Amino acid sequence: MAAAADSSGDGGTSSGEKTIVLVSSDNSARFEVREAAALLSQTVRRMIDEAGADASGDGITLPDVDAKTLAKVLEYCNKHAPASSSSSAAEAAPPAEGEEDLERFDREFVRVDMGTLYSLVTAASYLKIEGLLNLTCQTIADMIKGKTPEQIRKTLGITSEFTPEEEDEVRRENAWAF
Amino acid sequence: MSKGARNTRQFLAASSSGAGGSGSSSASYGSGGIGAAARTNDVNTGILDENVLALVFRSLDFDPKMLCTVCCVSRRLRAVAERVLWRELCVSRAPRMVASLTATGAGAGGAPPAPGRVVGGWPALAKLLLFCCGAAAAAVRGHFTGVSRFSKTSGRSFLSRRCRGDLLYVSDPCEHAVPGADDDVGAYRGVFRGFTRSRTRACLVGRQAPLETRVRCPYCGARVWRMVAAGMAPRSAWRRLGAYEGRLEYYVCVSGHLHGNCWLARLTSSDGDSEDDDDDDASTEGGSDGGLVAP
Repeated sequence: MAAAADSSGDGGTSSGEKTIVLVSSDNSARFEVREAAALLSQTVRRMIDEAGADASGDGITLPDVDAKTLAKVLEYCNKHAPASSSSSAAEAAPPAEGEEDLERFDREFVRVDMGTLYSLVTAASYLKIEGLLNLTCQTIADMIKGKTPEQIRKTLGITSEFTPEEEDEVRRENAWAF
Repeated sequence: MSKGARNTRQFLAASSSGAGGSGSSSASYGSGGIGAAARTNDVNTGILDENVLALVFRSLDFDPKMLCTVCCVSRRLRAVAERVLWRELCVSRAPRMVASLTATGAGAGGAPPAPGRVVGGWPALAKLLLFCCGAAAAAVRGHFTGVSRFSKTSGRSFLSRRCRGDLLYVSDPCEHAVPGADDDVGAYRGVFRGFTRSRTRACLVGRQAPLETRVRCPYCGARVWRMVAAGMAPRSAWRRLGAYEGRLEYYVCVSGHLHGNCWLARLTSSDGDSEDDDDDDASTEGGSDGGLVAP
């Protein structure tokens, strides 16, 4: 069982802060995280609201996020979570870490293989974590900027599915912007 | 009038007419399918998820070169571009004009386009916003424009009297020097709102105006009517452009895209500028009402 990547050690109960348990899709991993970190996800926020007061008893299962991805996502959330954990202020309050430190973290964070990057994008989209979604999309944008179609296919691992005739046609149709 | 492509602009390799139709958007691609919402299977997630792609391209400011490139990457990406990305480019460059073109007004009959759709498709509209198709007859080739201003007031001057209820945007003419000629050729383009329900189309059909055999819409590849031949080009049109009397030609395609050219009278001052255009104009500029487009 993986434990939460929580820098304060044993899951936050020692500081008296409220924690939330998030469970991966295959039920293989449970993560206990600070509420402030978990609430960076609008989806989690909504699930808690809908479930009411006793939600965190069993943990919240996230059907679309596997264990590996969830661990990575929570690494981001823990880093970017605001210092204060009061739920209404969680979004507006500044993160506990400094700006530069966060930028460095973000740069390192997205140095992963394409498969992981895609999983992160999908998870960030499903979990509605704005900062993570923007970060991953910007990373992908930077990867494809200025590239040719072949280079983009290679970078993103996409097959074209075009027949040679279709390929010619689509290139002709789209030559106008150059 | 716009300053346009007098001498410094290079004429690019893109053809100025007869572009292949962009209309294959209703084909189904691979196992993804166009109508499918983002599902949790692998095909439409990650980079192929249209919401993700929209965000990625928003980071790129919907750069048209990048969009044209990504259309060539795969069928799925082309499909998403046709449905979402080109639309977002149009909205970002000309928000008021797009809002006006897609507004579901009181139609004379027939269903208005569903929200999120435009007659003729988004790729064609994007190209129309950003690409001057030149003038084949004067051997002026099409080119990517840096700056375009579209005006409803200009459009109005292209509508014959009984069709003045239609809404038409027309661009300023893009000026081109022609070797061996004293005068410049002006190339312009435009688009109707809801052309299929317009008076203009009803008139064309009513007169049984024939469709052209040799000219096609440079934006969507559809067939066109020649408006001068159909007797539907009012004199206000060449006056508005500052063109020589009678020396203009323009075509309207079945989707409602307009393209045309004229010989510009260099010596006259701009006749059309005396009208107050400001309220009617929609300029293709990112995010705001005034000003001119960023390519």
